[in-house]
Amino acid sequence: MTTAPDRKTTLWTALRSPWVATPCLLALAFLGWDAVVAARNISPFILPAPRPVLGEWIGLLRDARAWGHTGMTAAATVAGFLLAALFGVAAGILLSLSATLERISKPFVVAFQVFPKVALIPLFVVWMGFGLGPKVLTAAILPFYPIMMNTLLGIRSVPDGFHDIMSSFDATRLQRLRRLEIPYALPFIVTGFEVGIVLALVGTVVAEFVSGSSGLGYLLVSRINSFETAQMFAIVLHLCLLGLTLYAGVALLRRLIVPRGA
Amino acid sequence: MRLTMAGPNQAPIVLDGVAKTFGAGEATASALLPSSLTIREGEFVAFLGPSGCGKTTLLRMIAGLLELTSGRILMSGQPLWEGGRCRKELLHRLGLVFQDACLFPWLTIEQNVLVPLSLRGHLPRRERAPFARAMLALVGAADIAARLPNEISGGMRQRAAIARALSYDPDILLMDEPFGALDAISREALNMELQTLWLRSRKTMVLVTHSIAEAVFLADRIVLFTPGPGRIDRVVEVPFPRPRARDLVFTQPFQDTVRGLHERLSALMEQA
Repeated sequence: MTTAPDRKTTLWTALRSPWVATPCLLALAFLGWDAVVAARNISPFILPAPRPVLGEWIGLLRDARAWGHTGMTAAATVAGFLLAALFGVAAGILLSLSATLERISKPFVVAFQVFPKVALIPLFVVWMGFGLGPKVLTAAILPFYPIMMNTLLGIRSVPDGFHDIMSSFDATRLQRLRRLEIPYALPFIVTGFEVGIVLALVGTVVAEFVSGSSGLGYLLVSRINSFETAQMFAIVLHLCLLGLTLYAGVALLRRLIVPRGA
Repeated sequence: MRLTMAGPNQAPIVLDGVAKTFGAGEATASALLPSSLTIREGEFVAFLGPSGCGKTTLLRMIAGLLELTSGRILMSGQPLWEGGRCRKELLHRLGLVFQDACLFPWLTIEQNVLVPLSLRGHLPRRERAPFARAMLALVGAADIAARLPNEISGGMRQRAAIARALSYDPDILLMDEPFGALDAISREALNMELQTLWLRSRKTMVLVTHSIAEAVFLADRIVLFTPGPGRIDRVVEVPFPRPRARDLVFTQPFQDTVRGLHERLSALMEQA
């Protein structure tokens, strides 16, 4: 048995635990924000104080229409993310099959990555109208690249020794993929998902700025147009919490599909 | 096809002028000069030499992992490499163990041991667990079946890797410095375990090692390799009767054999 730690140490230890430190830092940030707004006498149109923002957010939570917008944004994000996950993993596996294919496609992949894809949203609207289409497509295109590259990286990271062992078992190409490469790459793929889900939300919101008559992105633009800055901040807070929820979903996925040994 | 039924060509492994060069044109580097050797049925052969002497290169060619530049490898009279391709059906007769156990970290030891057979798809579900345990028992590791690779010691991982290689009952076991990363005590325990396994199964075993004492303790014959470029220097018969006791290593004849090999290796290193 160790001796009981004295009071000072326990307080210090408690402060350093993330469950205590993080809320404290958050509260500190809010207090600082409040102080700056009060001291500099900033107009609520430019930067509202935290309390009215919080009030607007609670109002948002009570508003059924706001929940409708939240649902639209969440649905487009999840649908786009699932498409990106499907095609991104498939493309990563495809590229891993052949170094030649990877080399040939590299210029196109890089061009696609550096191209500001959100610039295409107006075109998507022309193609698909003002409904869910352009949002889902944007939400799918942004996360595609990191998911594909993480899948490829994971498969390429399989140590040579594992490949030698599979060769000595006379494994077929498909067995090698299913039994070695995909399980080995899973933690990498899920990391791609974690990056991807956040990008999918960004894609949806930007598409809603441009094309929407619904969704939180549309709601945000309409509030800023009518100078309801506190409501706009409340929507940003709301989006932040939506992003956290979606991210937590992917983190849960990691626990479910990545085995504990890997 | 040769029609002879017996003789040296029916030996499990015949190396006939096997050589390997890497690179092409000006940048060609010779990893192994033409080497010939016959490994007999049920024999324990050690490839001994410093790094860069071509012993691992040769083992990888026998294992079908690396193509030959010239020469032939015959397994029971049949060429392993034909027209630049390795004959896969002959690989089923080989079990492979590396310095790194290469166990899949997401599978339990039991599941790892079952991987080769599950790839070939012939073991009823009910028989799997008892079979894996039986394989692990052969190397004194039956009680780790349910563990994950990163939960057990390096010595236990190597036992599991050997059990996995034994699972499809190969005639020949090829081992590339299997105990190279282990501490001295585990290494000694595994050397004893490997001897017991060999005495019981009488499989043909080829062990690549850079430990002279390990080679002398385990092998019937030691193939001495020399670097720069790699080639076989000589083949040494090890006279000690079986089973060899743990304290054989402290006897004078054992130490004399080790010293002889050591002096020869030192002389070779100075020449190179």
